[in-house]
Amino acid sequence: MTKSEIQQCILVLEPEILIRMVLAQYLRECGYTVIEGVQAADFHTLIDSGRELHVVLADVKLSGEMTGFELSRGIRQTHPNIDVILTSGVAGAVAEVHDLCHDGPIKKPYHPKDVESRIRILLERRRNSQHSKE
Amino acid sequence: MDPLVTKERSTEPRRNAVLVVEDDFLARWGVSEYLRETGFYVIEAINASEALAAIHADPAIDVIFCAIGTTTGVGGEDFLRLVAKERPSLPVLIASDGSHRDRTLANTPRRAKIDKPYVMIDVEQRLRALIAAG
Repeated sequence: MTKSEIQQCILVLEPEILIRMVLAQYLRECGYTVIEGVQAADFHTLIDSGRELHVVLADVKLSGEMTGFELSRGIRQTHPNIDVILTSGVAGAVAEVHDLCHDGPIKKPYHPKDVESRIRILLERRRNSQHSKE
Repeated sequence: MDPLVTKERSTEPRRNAVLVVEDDFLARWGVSEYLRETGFYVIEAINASEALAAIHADPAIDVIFCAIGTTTGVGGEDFLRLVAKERPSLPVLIASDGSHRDRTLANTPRRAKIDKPYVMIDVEQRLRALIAAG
């Protein structure tokens, strides 16, 4: 991992602790800064705090009132500089997630390695598009 | 046995695994990030049931930082009772609102309390002391 990737900050929104703790720890060992939350409100709290955030990894089913779908739509509108990756254990969710991110959802059960590769692809894509703009 | 492996094991620092139980997102993030930066392995739980799931999943937890209300809120007192029953030797640092109830709860072996609002370095030192005493 290069130096620029080390500072990338990821918000993991996952209401199931046994999934969240394993995934968050794996991503930390990969060199990312990982912040853990369980609901959409945690994203807004984090943004309000002024913390720079690069990727939100959210399950479609979150604690609180807002779903991962709704959060993802909102982030695309208000924070287009933040990438969103959705995960899902619900079979029917696939079609809807496709609508939100063209790479599709990450279906559970997943290996943290697959999530990390998806993050790496998104960050790489973003870096490339920034370079092309410059 | 491979001497290199043996050497590596013997010099490996203690894991210092702390389970942070805190329902407030900002408070949990703040204390968890601080403890990670100071070398702790941190597992984050947002409530008592998550904390119990984490304890069952990871028996190598060295200490608990319980910052959920023991007098109000999400069942901190019940949580402490269950921990005492299931893992009596596991030390607990209780973030206290100063109530008499908290003093009573902390006044048992393997437990200590720290008053809210707490200072990070104090939390860190108290956790290290509890681990060392074990």
